Amino acid sequence: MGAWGYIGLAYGLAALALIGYRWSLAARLRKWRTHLDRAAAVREEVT
Amino acid sequence: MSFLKLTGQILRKDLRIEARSREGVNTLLFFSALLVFLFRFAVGSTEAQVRQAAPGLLWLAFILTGLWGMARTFQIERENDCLEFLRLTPGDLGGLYLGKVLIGCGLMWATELAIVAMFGLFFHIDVLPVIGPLVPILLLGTLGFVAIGTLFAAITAHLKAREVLLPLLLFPLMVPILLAAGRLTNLALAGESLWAEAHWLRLLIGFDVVFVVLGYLTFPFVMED
Amino acid sequence: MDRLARILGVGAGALLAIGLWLGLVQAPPDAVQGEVQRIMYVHVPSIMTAYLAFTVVLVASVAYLLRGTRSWDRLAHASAEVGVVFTGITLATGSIWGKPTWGVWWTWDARLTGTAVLFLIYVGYLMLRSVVDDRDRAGRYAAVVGILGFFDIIFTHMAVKWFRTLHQPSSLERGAIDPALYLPLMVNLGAFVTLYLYLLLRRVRLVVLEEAVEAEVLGG
Repeated sequence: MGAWGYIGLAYGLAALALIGYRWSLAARLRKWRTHLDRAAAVREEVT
Repeated sequence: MSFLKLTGQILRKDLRIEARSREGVNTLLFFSALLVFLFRFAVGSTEAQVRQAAPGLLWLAFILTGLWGMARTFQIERENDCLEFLRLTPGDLGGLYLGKVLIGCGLMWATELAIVAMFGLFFHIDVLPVIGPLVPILLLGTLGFVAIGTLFAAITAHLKAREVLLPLLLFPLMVPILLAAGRLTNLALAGESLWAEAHWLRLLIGFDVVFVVLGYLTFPFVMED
Repeated sequence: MDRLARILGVGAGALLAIGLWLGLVQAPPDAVQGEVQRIMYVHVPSIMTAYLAFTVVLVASVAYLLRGTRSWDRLAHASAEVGVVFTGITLATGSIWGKPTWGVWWTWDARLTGTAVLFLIYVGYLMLRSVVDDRDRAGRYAAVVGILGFFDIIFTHMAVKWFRTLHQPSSLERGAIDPALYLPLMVNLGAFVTLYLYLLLRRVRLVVLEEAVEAEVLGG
């Protein structure tokens, strides 16, 4: 593997980790937001 | 200095428990004997190999045995439902911490001397002439280990995953002790003066001071409910 | 808070793009190591950011123990998780950089070992948090580990340095580094810190939401 191969690997892995983490944060945020929204909607229906 | 009263009380209590059951010393001794016995098979058969591996294995034996010793200090309280009462103890809970550290150290030091003797026996190392420089290393290295171990044992005592979590939290923090004590033990076994590498001694002392103080200060928060 | 996060997110993206161009195109190859040295523009900023993150954990942990306010605990929790991500990136890029320069993927070099210990300590911190159900209790336990872990790292670095060292001297010690490499490094550092702040805010938001869900489930 040449120098640029190593560079590509390093930058690629770093990008993958950051994008992956950001994605997981967004997914978790979305999940709880919908959960709360749904709960609020149910509560509204009851009252 | 009111916290020292609590230290004395917890020390007396745990010593009495130990004197009656001798469960701590007995199990620790047997466990460490087993470890040293098994280590001997792992390092190969030539004298040179054995000698080279001895200091590291010695500290590995201390730490593995100590892990069990640490877990025990708060397990006996939990099994007897005493954690809740300890929590309600009036006065400075830091004193309670110091008492547990002293008990832990005492138990460990006794076991370590036995382990050293077994190393001498199984690894053909003449330990009697080097016991002088070895003792301060044992004292200092163990104090740092117990200072953190006691605190983490209190944290994990009533968690479901305590068996895994305690070593998981404790072992990474032990790297400085393992390196310093391992290096100094190497010097001691080779018959050289510890002052030749005094910076390792200073590191151990600094480590002990910092973590005993931090443990004393943070322990009350661990016991809080 | 969400708006600030959005601004930081866009800022981090822009800075990263500039940093990427500076590091991969504009900066000259290193005189000794050649092109491979470009890995530094990810490696060094990520470890600096990780240190920043764990310093924030220390400060927030002390503040939480003294004040008992939930927001300090949320900050410590969020910062630790983001810090672990950056430490992971440091280890991965360092290992990849090590292969062409030292010939091996992993070596027991001082700084490498120290960073691995750092990683393990804070992974333990996160695991401890995940197994304690009660939030206040988890916060106090984690704060203790966060404080002790930070001080331990100082000792670890001393110890591994004396133990053995292969690593080049820190890239940030001025003079050791050519001015032509300095600007790209600084821009990338700025980008990583902005990215850290962005991720931190998002992570804090997530804790707030989780607490709201818990309160909702318990409160009915």
